[in-house]
Amino acid sequence: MIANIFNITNYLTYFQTEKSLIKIIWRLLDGYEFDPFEEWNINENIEKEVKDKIKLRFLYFLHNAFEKTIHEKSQTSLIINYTPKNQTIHDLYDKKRELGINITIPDYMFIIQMFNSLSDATMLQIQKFRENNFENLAEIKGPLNEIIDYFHAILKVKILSRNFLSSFI
Amino acid sequence: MGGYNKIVQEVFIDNGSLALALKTLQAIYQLDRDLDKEAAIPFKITDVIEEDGYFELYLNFMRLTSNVVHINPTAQDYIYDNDYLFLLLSFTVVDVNNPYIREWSIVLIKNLTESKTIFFELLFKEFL
Repeated sequence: MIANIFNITNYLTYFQTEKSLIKIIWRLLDGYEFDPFEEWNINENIEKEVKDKIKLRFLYFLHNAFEKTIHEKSQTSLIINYTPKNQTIHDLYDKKRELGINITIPDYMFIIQMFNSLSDATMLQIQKFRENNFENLAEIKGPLNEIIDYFHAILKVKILSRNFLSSFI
Repeated sequence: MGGYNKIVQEVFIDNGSLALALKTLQAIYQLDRDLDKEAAIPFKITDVIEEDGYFELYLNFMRLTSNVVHINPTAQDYIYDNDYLFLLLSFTVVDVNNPYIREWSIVLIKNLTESKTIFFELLFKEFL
């Protein structure tokens, strides 16, 4: 019991110190085991291909969540229809915002870090393809396609993420 | 639509992301152009990259760049100094894979020329 309380306190302290939740989820998807003291241990039993697919799906999820939040915030007609008599439209608008996703500055910085590393990786793959004079299409197609999928997903996340950060700065 | 918050723009530029984004755009666009010319067996980029990755790729680059250069002399200077203007202008087309890319290009040109007359002069000299 005491041990449980101790753990909960540690977890709360961990999240209250402005850690990037996206980075934590990303590490978990990368096969690491969560530790509040940042002693991450990798679980090597999970295959790289599986991890990559899950990470790509996570980026799609993040993009969809951003889009859904923007869409819901822009549906003013819905907000007016569902306004209870004792609440102003503004109050309900604020409540509706809470339903959506939001990010912090460390999250945004992590998105930028991912964007930069995926840009580098994309250029590297294209360079490899060029060095082979566009041959070995079968070999290069898989990795190039995969990295551009990743890059495009993070690009879409990056474009929308600024909408959620503006309120923090 | 507006532009990015100034601080958001600065964070993006200071971390080298604008430079990397433009370099990546150039690399992909060049690959797209060269595949049917230089490859032994000509093929299109859509043979290499599947639809999920390719559809709206250029459009998203234009969206990003348009927002980053909005009232931002640092980003505008970077584009001018590194000759990216004509690369970006090559997207002022109608493209099935990138719907609304022409419209985003117009936004980009508007944002570039609004506060930096050198772009306007350059465009005027080249196209009019």
